[in-house]
This record gives sequence, structure tokens and C-alpha cells, in this order.
Amino acid sequence: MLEVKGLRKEYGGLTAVKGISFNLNPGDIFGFIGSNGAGKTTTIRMIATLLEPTSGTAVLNGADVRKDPMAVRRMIGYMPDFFGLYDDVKVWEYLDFFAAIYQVPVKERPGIIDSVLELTNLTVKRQAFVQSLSRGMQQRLCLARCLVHDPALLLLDEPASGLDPRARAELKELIAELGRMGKIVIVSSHILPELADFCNTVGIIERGELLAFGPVSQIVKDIQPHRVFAAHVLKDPEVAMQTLIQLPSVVDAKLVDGELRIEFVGDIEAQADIVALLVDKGFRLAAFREDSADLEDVFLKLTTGAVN
Amino acid sequence: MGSWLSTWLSGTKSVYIGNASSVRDYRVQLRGSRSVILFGLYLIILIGIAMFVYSQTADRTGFTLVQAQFQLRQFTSTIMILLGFAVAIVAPGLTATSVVTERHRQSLDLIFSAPVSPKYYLVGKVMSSFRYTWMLLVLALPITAASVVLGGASWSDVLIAYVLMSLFGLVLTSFALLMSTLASKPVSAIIWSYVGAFVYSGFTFLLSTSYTLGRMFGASRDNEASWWVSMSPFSVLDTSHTYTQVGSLHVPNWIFVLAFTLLASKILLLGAGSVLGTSGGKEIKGLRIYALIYIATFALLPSWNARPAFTPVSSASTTAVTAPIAPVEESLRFAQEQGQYLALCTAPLLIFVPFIACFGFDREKRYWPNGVFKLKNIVDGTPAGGLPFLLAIIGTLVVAWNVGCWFGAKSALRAPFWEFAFYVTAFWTFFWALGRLISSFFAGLKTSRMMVFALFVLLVVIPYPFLVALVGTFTDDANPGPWNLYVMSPFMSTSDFSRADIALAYGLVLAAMAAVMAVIAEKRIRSKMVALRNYDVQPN
Repeated sequence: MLEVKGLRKEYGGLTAVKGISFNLNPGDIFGFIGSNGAGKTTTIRMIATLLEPTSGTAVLNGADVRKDPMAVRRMIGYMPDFFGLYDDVKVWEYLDFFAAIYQVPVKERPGIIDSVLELTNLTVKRQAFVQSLSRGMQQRLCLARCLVHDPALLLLDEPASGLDPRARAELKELIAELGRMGKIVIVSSHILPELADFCNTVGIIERGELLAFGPVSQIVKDIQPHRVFAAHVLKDPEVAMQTLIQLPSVVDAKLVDGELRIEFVGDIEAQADIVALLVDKGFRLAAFREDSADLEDVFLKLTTGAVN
Repeated sequence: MGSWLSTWLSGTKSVYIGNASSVRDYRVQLRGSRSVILFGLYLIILIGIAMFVYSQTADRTGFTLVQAQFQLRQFTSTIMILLGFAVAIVAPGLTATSVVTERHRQSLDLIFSAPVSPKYYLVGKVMSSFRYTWMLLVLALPITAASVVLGGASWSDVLIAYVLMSLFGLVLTSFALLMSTLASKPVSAIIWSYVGAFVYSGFTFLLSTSYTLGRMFGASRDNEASWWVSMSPFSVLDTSHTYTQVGSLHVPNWIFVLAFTLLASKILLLGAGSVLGTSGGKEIKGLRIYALIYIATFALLPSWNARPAFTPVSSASTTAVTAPIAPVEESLRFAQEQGQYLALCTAPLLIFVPFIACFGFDREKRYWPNGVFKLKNIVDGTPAGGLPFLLAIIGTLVVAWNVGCWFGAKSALRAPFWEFAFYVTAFWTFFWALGRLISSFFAGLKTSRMMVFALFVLLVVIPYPFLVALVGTFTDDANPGPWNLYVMSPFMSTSDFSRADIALAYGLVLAAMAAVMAVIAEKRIRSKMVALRNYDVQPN
């Protein structure tokens, strides 16, 4: 379990992270969202013991990043937003090097290297030089490096940046698999729809403050308590709006860019009633769809775009 | 105790045996045919030069036995000089880029997010570079063995020469590693490593020359010599059998060189470790504590050996040492000389003061002002501990100097010494305050450090040739006049006792200026924070 308690980082007069707190359990995949300079990397680096917090702490399975950083390091796999690969070594040598610095016993290393190569789909590249790998493969190798010591927590800082769609999809599947393996995964990313797909928890950070934390559905519900439908009425949309607002299941209706946005509470019968009413009253209905908020809407609504 | 020992042993074993960093570098170094070709070329060049040197004398006849012996020894000496050059070229070259390229590659974060200490990492780097250097020495073994077979040297000569050569390589490797850790670009790391190697080689060669020239011109046939004559690899054959008399024992000088080299390498590696480690980490604490211990040790060496012209104590048989009985003038001169030597010994602070005084933004680390003077920060490397540590250095030096003079010359140091001690304290405090003041104007840490260095040159170095051109060389007899305006004028004479007064006056002026600068710097801290914020709007 990872407990982040009031984590704060100050650089002289500048507070990069302002007392962040959250808890994550094994199997959680946590999407960490924020603009550049919001404090994501600083937070991740503090959890990775690469930066000392000004106050607060993070405790991973009982080991405190401030009191026992070496114990924490043994339990984490950190993948920064750059590769940091050695060009002049082979894939297996690269993994062997990291297995050695994580003090994996010599006899166990070949088996572990084979396993992580298989997991990351790099087995065929075992003897290849690192510099000969494609960008997507290098990214997967970095992830393999993080796994050689079977960490409880993975810190992935912008893992999908610069990857093509296929490599991105593979990486997404791999991260989901790691979550299923019971690891805590913290992923920071700008690509919000992707995070929403595979993260069961997200946190939105701006200017060092955690503005929202929780499951994606919960956060969306917090900012948009009602379901929203969009209806495209070809003629007299204002009249249609006035008609719909009479219904008890319609909380509010607005005309936005020529479309009706209907805030709605009710079941599927009430939903059908809306369509039936519009048709019965002779409105020409061209489209009717649910238009719920997504992570991007939440992010844009909660944040102002300001940086530290 | 038992568990501590076993933890220590297992930790030490993991650092020195199977070090991952060293193994990785070893794989890369020996990959393919590159190493074989390089080693082959090296051997061909070495053998070629050895054969050429040998052929110069082999064809000649009419040698006496002594001349032949001398020629063979010269041949061996040439081989050793070649090896010395090989070590001086290869050791810094192999090491200088090792850390700086990792930083450029951004792989340091990956390593230090693993349970790896700076010590583990740096020892691995030293081992991989030093192993390569050692291979050069081992490959040359057939040629050095030929010298033994031909009668130019004994096996013990070769063995001691190899030890001294290895120690020389270790110092150069450690220095290059420090430069590699400090430098921001590989090319500057290489340049500074070779500058260091050149200065160290030249300096140690000059030290050994005093002994070798003395023997050449018949000054001494004895093997007793100061231990530092054995530090140079270029005269290793001539100095390998020198010794220092300690009580009734003849201690071989290579043992002193071994101790010195290991300590010097350790302090250089601690310096590198403190750069790589976290602020307040054990590396920087170790560096500072070791620095104080070494300063005390090295201050004891010259002060213990200082010999006044007068006889300070009539008898050393009593345990209670009585006050020295000496002509006043000689006693004054001795105290003044010791004060001046002490002040000169602080010259290396020129390198360290900008590091401990300045604060601001660096590429990787930010040194933020956390106060002017906090004793609790004395060893943690933060700016608030800078002045306490500076004063601790000078205090340690002064105490050790007094202890050395008291036990060595049996002479208590009197007034002129203390004037110089005050002067030197004020002098470096002035530059510390200057560092803080400049840091309060500039966001970049390197800019501040370079400015301190530049101002040192402007205030201390440049005025000397200017004054020489203006009023001529300083002499005791003539009115010093403008020379008294020169901040180093307290050093201009050992016999002119007014120099101590000048030192006191300069001390007071420098201390007052330091106080003013420190106050202004403190008042500017807030605007400095704004500057730092603007300098780096994205701390992530």
C-alpha cells in the first residue's frame, strides 16, 4: 500500500508541491494529470526518493521515503520521461546491469530477464544492441528494466510520449496487465482519454495542489451530477427546449451551438419519453445522443492552466 | 557489534566484488576487437621504443662494468618513464567522460532510483578505469622483466615501481572522476582532468627532482629523503628505495605515498560522491569531516618540522615544557614566518570558497539560501553551513599549526602569528561574503562561482604585476608606499615586522567589508527568490 501524507516540496520561495495526500492499494492504476509545471514529476521524484520532501512523506508497504529510502528503492520501479538507455550494450546486458544493482542474485537473473522480456514482448531482441531498437521497443525495454526486481510500485512518468498509436496501445495493455498482477502503478500523462481507459483512479494536480482524486466516474459525477443528452432538432429548437423543460426528468435544457443540451435525471423509460415527446409534437429530430463529460472536460473545468 | 560488522562486510563485499557498474563497463571495454587492437598497438610502441633505446647502447663497446650498469639502469628508467606517460594519458582519458556522459544520457536518475549509493557507483567507475590502466602496466611486464634480466633493475625495483605507478594512476583516476562529476560537458571534463594530471605529474616530478639532482651531483649518497620525493612516476626507479627515519625505524617512502594516495583518492571520491549524493547526505558529511582531519594532519607536517633560528627550549627531558628562551627578534621572526606559511597554506580555499559560499540554481541541484550562519548545517553542504565550515577549516589549521610548533620546535607562537591568523580568517570571510553578495544578484550558481573567482584574480593576482611596473619590486629598505595598498602585502617580507601590523589592519578592513556585504546579500535574498522563479518556471 502506498500512503502519501502531506507531501510538500519547496524551492526557497517557490512551493512546487503543496501538501499532497492520497492512498493507493495493490492493483490500483493511478493516472496523475496536470499541466507542465503542475508538480507531477516533483511528486513522482519524491516518491522515487530522488528528491527529499520539504515536509510530509510517502510510505510504501511500511517503508518511509525519508527514513528508509533504500528500502523504498528496492520496492519501486521508476521510469522517467526519458529513456536513459546505454547504447553500447545488448538488451540482456542492460537488464542484467539493473538486476545487479537491484541485488537480484546472479543465479536468478537469466530467468528473470527472460520473464520480463516475454512480458514486454522483447524476447526476440534479447541479443540486439539497445541502440538498434525502435522507440516503442526502447520504451518497453525501459518498462522491463523497472520490472527486473519485481517492484510493488511502478512510477511511470509520461510513458506514452512520443509513441505511435500501435506502441501506445501495446503499452496501455501492458500497464493494465501490471495492475492485474497486483502492482500499484502511477502513470502521469497528458493524453487524458487513454488514462481514463485503463486507470481506476485519477488525480488532477495544478500548481502543486491535488484538485481532485478518486475513480474517474466519481470525479466526473462530482463535476457533472446529471446525465446530459444532446438533441439536434432541425426546426424551432427554442420551442422544443421550452417543451422539454416541462418534463419532470429534465433538470435543465439549453441551446448550445444549435443543439439542445438536456440535463436529465431518470431511468431509461424517462429517456424514451423525451424522444417520444419531441416526435409527438412534430419536431424533426435529426440526432439524439448521450453527451456525458469525460476526463478532459473534468480537467478543463477544474484547472485554469496556471503553472508554478 | 557482530551484526554491524556482518552488515558492513556484506555491504563492502557488494561494493567491491561484482560491482554492477564495473561489470557493465568491463563488458563494453572488452567488446569486439577494439581493445585487442589498442593493447596490441600499445605493446608494439612500447617494445619499439625499448628496442630503440637499448640499441643506442647495445652496439657500443668499451664500457666499464659501472658504465654498463648505469646504461642498463637508464634503459629501465626510460621504460618506467614511458609507463608513467601511458598512465598519465590513459587514466584521465578513460575516466573523465564516465559520469558526465551518464548525466547527458540521463541514466544517473535510473541508477540512483535503485538501491545504489554514490559510493557503490563511483567505486565501480574507479574499478573499471583503474583496471584498464592496470592492464597497461601488466602488459608491459615482459619488457620490465627484460630490464631485470639484463641487470638494469632488481625485482624489488620493479615491484615498488609498479606500486607507485598504480598509486599515481589511482590519484589521476579519482581526480578525473571528480572532474567528470563536476563538469557539465564531456569536453570540459577531459580538459580539466588532463590539466589536473599535468599539474600533479609536474608538481610531483619537481618534488622528486630535488632528490634525484642532489644524488646526481653527489650531494647525498644516502637513501634518506622526504617521503614526497617518491610520488613521481617519472623518477620512480631513483626514488623507490628512499626511506624516512621515524625514530629508529627506516620506513620506506612508498608506504607514505601509499597512505597519502589512498587518503587523497578517498577525499576526491568523497567530493564526487557529495556532488552526486543528496544534500546533507553522508558523502558530503564525510567529505567535510575528512577534510578537517586531513587539514589538521597536513598542517602538522610543516609546523612540526619548522625549526626556528633560536634554541627555544633548553631541555626536552622534562615533561613540563618551559617557555622558550630566545632572542626576541628571532622569536618574532619565527612567529611571523609561521603566520605567513599558515596563510599561504589556505590558498586551496580559492577553489572551495566559491563552492561553499554561493547559492542559486544549478542544472540539477538548487542551493537555496537557508541562513547566514547555522552551526547545525556545518557539514550538510547547505549555504547556511558555509561560514561555520570555513571558520572550522581555518580554526583547525591554526590549532594544528600551534600544536605542531609546540611539539616540534618546542616554541609557542606569539603575537605576529595571531595577526596573520586573523588576517587569513578575514580574507576568506571576505570572499565568502562576496560569494553571497554575488549570489544575491545572479540566479545561476555557476555564474556566481565564476564571478568570485574572477574577482579574486582581479583583487589578488592582477595588482601584483601592476605594482611591480609602477613602483618596482617590494624591498624592506625602501618605503613600501603603494605596496601597502596591495591586499597580499602582509606576505611581502619575513623580516619586516610591520607586516604583522599591515595584516591586522587588512584583517579589520576585510572583516568590516565582509560584514557589510553579508548584510546587503541578506537583504537581497527576497528579490533573488523572484529571480530564481523567473529563471526556471518549470521546476519539474
